[in-house]
Amino acid sequence: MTATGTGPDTVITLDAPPFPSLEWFAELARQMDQQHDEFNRMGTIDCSMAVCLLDGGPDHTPWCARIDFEELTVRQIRLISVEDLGSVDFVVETDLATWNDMVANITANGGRPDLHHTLNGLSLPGTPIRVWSSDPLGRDMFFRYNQTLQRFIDNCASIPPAAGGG
Amino acid sequence: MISATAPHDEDGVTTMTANTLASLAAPPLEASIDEEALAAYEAKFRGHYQIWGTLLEENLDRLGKGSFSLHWTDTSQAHWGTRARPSSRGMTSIDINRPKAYGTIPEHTEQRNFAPRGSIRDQYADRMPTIDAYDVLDKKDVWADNAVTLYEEAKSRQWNSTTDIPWTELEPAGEDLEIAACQLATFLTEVEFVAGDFPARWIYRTAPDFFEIKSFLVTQMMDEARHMEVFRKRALAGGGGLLHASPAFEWALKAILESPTHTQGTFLLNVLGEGLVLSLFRAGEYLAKTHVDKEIFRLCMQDEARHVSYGTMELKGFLDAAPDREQALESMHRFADLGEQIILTALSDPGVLEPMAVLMGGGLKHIDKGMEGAGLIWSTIVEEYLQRCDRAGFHRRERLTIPTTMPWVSAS
Repeated sequence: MTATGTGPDTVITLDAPPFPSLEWFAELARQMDQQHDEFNRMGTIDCSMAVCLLDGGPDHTPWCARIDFEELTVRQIRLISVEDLGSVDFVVETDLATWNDMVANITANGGRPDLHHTLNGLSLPGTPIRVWSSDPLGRDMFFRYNQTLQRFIDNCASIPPAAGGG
Repeated sequence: MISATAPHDEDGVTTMTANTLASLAAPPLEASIDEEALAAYEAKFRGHYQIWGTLLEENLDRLGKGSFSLHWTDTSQAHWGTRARPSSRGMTSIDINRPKAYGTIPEHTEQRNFAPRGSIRDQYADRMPTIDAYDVLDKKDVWADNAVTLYEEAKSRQWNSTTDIPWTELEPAGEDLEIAACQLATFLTEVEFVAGDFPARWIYRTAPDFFEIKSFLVTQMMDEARHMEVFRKRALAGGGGLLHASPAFEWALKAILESPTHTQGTFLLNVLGEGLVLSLFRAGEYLAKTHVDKEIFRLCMQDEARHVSYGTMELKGFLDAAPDREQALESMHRFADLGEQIILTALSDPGVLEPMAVLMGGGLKHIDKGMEGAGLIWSTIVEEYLQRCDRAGFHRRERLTIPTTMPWVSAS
């Protein structure tokens, strides 16, 4: 629970996880579980994705989380080091400002980003989001599961804004 | 027919055989079927299918005597007790291949019939027919280690262009943009079904011991049927309709369809061709001017990525299992020298490149600007192709026959 202000304009935000944090992605995972039928309609997803925010850590150091998808759920979310990024199927790499801009757009559009703020659209030129992998087959998983990944991220629209972005 | 060669006896078995075979005969022929072909079929039937008649005689004789065979209750050569266990997502093809008795894929098979891998079949070998069409008998010529996973994924991630695309939300764009969208949809309609016809040509030839591959290729055919359908619908849904076919690309499609081996054709289709189309679909985020188009491209992209993954691993499997790897590599290089022209043909075809540039630029007036985006797609296609080749152990960078960047200079 977060309280902003002290007077009559005080706003209390319930369950607003900070960003970036494992809790923020755990909230997306929780929503995925609640939307079982919708995700089931899109099909199963089996891959490990890392989200790496190049300036998301303390003193603008990289902040990286590994998210393991299995079947129709997120099996595990954990922090990983930059050195371990080669162990995932693919990495979604960007900076905090780009991520926050994407989330703001998704939120403003009710969970449906405009044509310029999808994961795929932002990453196609290699910037401002770079999707990379040590294995081309791993990178292709970003394409194979793209609809599910986009829906997973789109659920950020229902996460209340929190201090630190997101 | 068979009864003419079968021995006569006194209890009416021959008559039963004749009647039974008559009832097994093909349905009445349509008038269009060539009489000569039917005569040839009859002659072949009489000449080579006597074992079938003998087997029928035995079975009918047994029935006539009121006795039973019960040979099928002998499980001594079966894998009785070997139990496949479902995983959390149900009983997958991966689960049933876990027991070695059923999941061991032969490097080579002589089974040119329909008898299932893992069944009791060897003792019947001399009474089995031979399906002449089954001439792909080596695992290395079709197998990919990710095929079973991709098959399960394909079943799970099917979609329906009739109901999964929000057709009613298709918004009118400017006329130049709609013409470009329709031209691109025409091209994609034209190319999609070679990716259905090519697998069909090889499914038919692949021995059933490699049924996992046949099954995966069937999903690819279904995917391509859906893509052809969705782009045809897209062209018509905006009122513009189908526009110009591409003579140049027809030659590329012919080259794919008529590839001499499955591996070479899969390289052309799945690594080169589908890799190109995958990048096009990925660029759909820029090409699409509406949510409808974006959804179409995104859904198609997922399907194509499966096909590309299969093609990459099939090539790797072929090279890894080749008895003479250097010779196999050289042979593939020779083939790729020609095959890479498919990328060049598609990306230089004005019926493909120019509508892409118009869509990316935001209109005919901005086609020059759009060419910059098209150049980005060109570079992406070639680089990702080279990376997939590397992944397969097929290093093409030194022998690449096509430009890595688009050879275009603005006239303005």
